[in-house]
Amino acid sequence: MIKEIDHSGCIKCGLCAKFCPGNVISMNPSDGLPYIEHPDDCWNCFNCELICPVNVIYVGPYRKEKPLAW
Amino acid sequence: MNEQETIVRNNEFITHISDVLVIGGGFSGLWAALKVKENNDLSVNLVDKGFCGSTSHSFFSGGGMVVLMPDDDLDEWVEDIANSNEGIADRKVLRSILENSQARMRDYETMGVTFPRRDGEYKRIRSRGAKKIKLLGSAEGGGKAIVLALHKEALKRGINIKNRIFIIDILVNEQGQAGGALGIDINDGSFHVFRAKATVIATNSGSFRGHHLASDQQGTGVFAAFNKGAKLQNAEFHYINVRPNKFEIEGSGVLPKFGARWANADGEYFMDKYDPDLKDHAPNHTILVAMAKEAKAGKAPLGFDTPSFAEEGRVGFREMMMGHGWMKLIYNKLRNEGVDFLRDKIEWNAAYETNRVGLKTDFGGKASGIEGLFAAGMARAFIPNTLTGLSIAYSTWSGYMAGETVAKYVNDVEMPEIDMQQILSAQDSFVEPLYRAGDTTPDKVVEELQKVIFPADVLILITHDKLQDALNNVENIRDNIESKMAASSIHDLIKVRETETMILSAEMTLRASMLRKESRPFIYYREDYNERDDQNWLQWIVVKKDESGFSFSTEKIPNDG
Repeated sequence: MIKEIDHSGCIKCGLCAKFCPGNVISMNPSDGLPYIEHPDDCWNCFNCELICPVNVIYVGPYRKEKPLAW
Repeated sequence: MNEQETIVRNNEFITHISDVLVIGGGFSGLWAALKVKENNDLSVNLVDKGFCGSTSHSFFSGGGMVVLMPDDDLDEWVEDIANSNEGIADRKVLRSILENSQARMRDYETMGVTFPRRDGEYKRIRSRGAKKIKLLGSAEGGGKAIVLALHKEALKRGINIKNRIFIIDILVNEQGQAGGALGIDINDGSFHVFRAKATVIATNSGSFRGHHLASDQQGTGVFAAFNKGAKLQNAEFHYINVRPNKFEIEGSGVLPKFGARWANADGEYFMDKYDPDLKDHAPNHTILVAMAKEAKAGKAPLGFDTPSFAEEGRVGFREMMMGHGWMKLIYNKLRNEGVDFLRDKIEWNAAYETNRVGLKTDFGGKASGIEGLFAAGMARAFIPNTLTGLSIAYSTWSGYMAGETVAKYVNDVEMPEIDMQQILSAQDSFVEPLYRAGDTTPDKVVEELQKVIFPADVLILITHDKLQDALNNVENIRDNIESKMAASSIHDLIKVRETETMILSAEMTLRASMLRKESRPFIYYREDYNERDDQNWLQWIVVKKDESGFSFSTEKIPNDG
């Protein structure tokens, strides 16, 4: 799941929010920075981390726990 | 203006008029739009709930496509796919997909997609679980490269693409004719009325958020059409994959090619028992059923014997599978956390990927039950076992076909009139959760639903009694919990709608499974009816809405391909 967006290096391009399929990331209108609005809806597609031109996003490798078949 | 009115802009409708509306921006939706647009006099609006192309299921696919080459035997390939589906297949459709596959591959190459070659010849591999059909090696850059090439082409040809629009209703007039759709802009809450002479649903099938790359599919497009009278097919079939318990890495089909073997808690190579010929190379559904039986017998945890895996196997797997951006990324992230997927003992489990329910259509993609409605990609009912590489070939073909059919259809029809009352009523019903004093959330309800649907003895080792227990639980969720979901944002409203759709889909799949009293091990397994029954069940199960909810009928599968 998405863990962190490091604002210190962010260039406010908005690509992470644009390419998130789950609307997890939003852009804050007051400072133009992206923030993780719906962390529980991250489904580990890694689109945001892969698209970020300045490498300031970290998505952890483990998915949200869900009921298993056995 | 009260708080709710600042979230959704109830009194504003932005109207968009075009000859054709396409809903969904993956392979099939983009193909449908492009084919219609070959006629420059026709206008196309394409809407996507994410960002067209880049958030689609197509984007995350591996990019391997089944293509019939001149030296391949068409008849053999058709039978191979039909046999992998144990007869539950429309051979005429399979034949057409294969006959046109090479031309579509050339189209992709013209758009700039590269399929890998060795010594001038295309690299090809056998599709998992099949005996004959082969796919090309993954397009360079994966499915992402293909769908982005289509997206670029769509922009070049003047297709109007509207991103971040979630479709909440298909508009159908009193004569039963589709006239477009109503959507909401996810970013600003504005409502959009898309009027069109023809509407194409290309929104993929549904899921229960069981697998990461299908988490955005809840079947809302397909079920919106169902709610307005369109018929569905294949509600009893599912694609359930196997995955590590805690993270998402693909490889269950590929690891055995490099020598990895499935082992139970006692270290037994259990596939020797369930499929003595193919063993670990058996089709996905056979492995899934075997794992469920092992777990039921107390032999879990289950997983590959990776600790004793030969080093060249690890190297081979890394070379073949780490081409996908996210696969390499996740592998390295795990390594950083001290987990080596190719060396450590990893526990695997079932991962519900998608259901196979889709709109019932004719050969050209015209939906059954609503005039002016068409379907493409997995939103159109296809076959239960799509085999590696066939999904892309099918999505490409069905999008192309729908576009061709629609382009002819719109020449002969007028723009349907749509009653404003229908639009207002759809809007009211969508925003209603904002005004509820509900005491639960969509996330909690989805988790309850997953607890009902995911256990192995419901959809993997099927019995009537377990289906009935699950159905009782789903009906309880439907009758006592569904209406208590509250929302405080557009994001929540969409999740409420998705959850309502999943509840309906769960009920439908359980009821459809009760009807199919037989087994076809490659695609469907019932413990209480474990024989294949061609006499009674070489049939499609078709569902349509009625006053009591929905009703089923069956239709003989033609063998005329």
